[in-house]
Amino acid sequence: MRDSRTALMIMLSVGLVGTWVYHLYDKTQYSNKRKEIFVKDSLAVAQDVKDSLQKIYSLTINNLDAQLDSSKVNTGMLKGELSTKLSEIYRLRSEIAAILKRNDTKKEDLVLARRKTAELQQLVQDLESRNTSVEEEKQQIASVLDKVNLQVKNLEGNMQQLSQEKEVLTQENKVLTEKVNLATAFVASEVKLAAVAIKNSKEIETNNAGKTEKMIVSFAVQNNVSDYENAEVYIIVTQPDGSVMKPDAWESSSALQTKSGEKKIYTRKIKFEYQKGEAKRLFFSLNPDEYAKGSYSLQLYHNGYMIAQSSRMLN
Amino acid sequence: MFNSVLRRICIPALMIIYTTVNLYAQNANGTKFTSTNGIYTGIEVGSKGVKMSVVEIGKNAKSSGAFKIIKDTSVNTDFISFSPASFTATLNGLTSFYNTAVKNYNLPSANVFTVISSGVKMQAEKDEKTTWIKNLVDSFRLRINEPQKEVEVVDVEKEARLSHLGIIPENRRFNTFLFDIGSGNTKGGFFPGNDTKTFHLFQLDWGTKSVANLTEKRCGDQTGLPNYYKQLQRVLAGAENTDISYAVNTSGAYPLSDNIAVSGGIAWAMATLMHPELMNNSIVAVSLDEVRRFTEKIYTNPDAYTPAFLSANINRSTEKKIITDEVARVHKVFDQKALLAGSGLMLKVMRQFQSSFETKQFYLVKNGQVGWVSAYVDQSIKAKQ
Repeated sequence: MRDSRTALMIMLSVGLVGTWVYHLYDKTQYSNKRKEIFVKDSLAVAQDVKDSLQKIYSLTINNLDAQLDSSKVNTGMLKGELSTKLSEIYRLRSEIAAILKRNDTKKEDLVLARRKTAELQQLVQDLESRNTSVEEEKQQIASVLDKVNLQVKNLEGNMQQLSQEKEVLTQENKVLTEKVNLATAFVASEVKLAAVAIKNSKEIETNNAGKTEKMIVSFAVQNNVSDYENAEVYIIVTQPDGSVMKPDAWESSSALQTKSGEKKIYTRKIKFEYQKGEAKRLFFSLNPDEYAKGSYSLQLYHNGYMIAQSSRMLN
Repeated sequence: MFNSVLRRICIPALMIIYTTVNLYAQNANGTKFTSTNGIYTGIEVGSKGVKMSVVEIGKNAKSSGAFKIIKDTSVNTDFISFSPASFTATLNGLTSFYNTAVKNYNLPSANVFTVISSGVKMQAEKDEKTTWIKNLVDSFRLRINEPQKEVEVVDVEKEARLSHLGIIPENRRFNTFLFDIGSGNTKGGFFPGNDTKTFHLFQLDWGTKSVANLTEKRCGDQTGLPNYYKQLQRVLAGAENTDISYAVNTSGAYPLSDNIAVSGGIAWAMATLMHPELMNNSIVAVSLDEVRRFTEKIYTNPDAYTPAFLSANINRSTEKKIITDEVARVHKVFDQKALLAGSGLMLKVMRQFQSSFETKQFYLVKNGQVGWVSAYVDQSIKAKQ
């Protein structure tokens, strides 16, 4: 019984000693391990962080280069903004590169480098998202522009068509106005330029220039379209030498403007009141000092249109 | 002393030489007329100088107012300065013109009428120099060796009446108001009845030169055109308010006149510039608006009245030359300021005849200065009968 108790005691003692040995061993091991870990934190971890940052930096820079190329090509309009951001990026890049190149890098430097890298990443992400939105906007604008171009083309086509139609209408209008104007002008009939000699107080028509005492102009005018409160008919009598006969300077003291814009000197202007449809007979005499031999021509104008002409030869 | 004597001799001598050369030049191309039927000459001693008008009066002159001007010339002698030099120059001019009419145009003395104008008479009376007129007439008679030659000194009413009778044809005689814008005054009138016995005289102490002179005076040192134009409007407004409106309204011309005719140098100038296409017309009809536009345009755009511009649309070379020469002559006689003054005065008188319910016809008479000759001829013939 006593043997078993001793054996148990021995076994317990061995167990306890073993536990203490293990404890000490383990403690020694533990102590050694903690020391190694501490060393690793100051060097290896820093190296790891450095590598990681370098990797992120390189990746970011690579991405950035690609983005830059794309941005440079596609975002001309945002060049100003881009250049501001780029200068910011270049600044961050330089600062990060400077930090990482240092041999005596401290923990605070690494924290700063990390913050700057985050800033850099943010900027690049901003650019990416801006590029994407610009691209989308460009596409939208391009599509709107296409639509507008199409509409403009359609409008241009319409306008061309309208202008052609307008031209045709203007032409037609001109022709119609001309017709209306012509319709409002008198129609002359019985137009006569007679040379008259006076014999025994009687007027006798003559062809002899030497015997001519006066010239009588007679005609009738009619118009079925218009009434005239103050109708004016201009008479031009041209003498054989081509000059306009003007026996009364007061009667021919202005110029007649024809529809073509030409200004003509006239012999006499007759003013009268006219009622639509009436056949108005008019006549007057001309008394120049002398009559040359040759052909005399008579022209009648109303509303700027020549409405009749006639001639008379005197020998 | 010597200088003073030299000046006294030289000035008259120079004036005599100038007048003689001028007259020779003017008459060098004179035509020798063989037929003198219906040709008359009027020689008038005016304030500025001596004028000669040789006209052919046709058989219809009375009814149509037509007369053909064969020669119309003048020489500046400034008789109303009443100096020995101006006296000699005037006497030379008068004699030379008379000799030209008699010798070059083969006219009998009876067909040559000589008068002293109302302007000279008025100035001589004002300056108490009427003996200068008498001396001039006596010297002239002596020179031409015709002691009985009539040289009438006409008064302003007779001059205006003769102009009306000579310029306005019979068929417009009693419904036409005629006024002549001279350099120092404006005179004219109308026949209020149905005969030529009573003539209503219209007179203003404003003329082209007097308006221009007063405007220049008001301008002071600022002689630029904008200030001239501004001052001119004030001068004309003053003249209109004080004289023109009263003179026209009290004349009684408005209800009796359908036609308003204007003669004088400014009328000739404006007719030529406004209607160059009517260069051969002695009478040019214008509207009040046309005259108003002219008064504005001659200020804002005087280039529109240059010889080159006005003859630009004329194709026939002879006609083009006539227009170019005549327009150039206008600009030689009237500069821009004188045109502004004269046209402005004309517009102010014309405006008095403007009415919203009645249309008056306005006429510019180009050869008013010779109009009196035909009336004088007619009157002289009647007096002899």
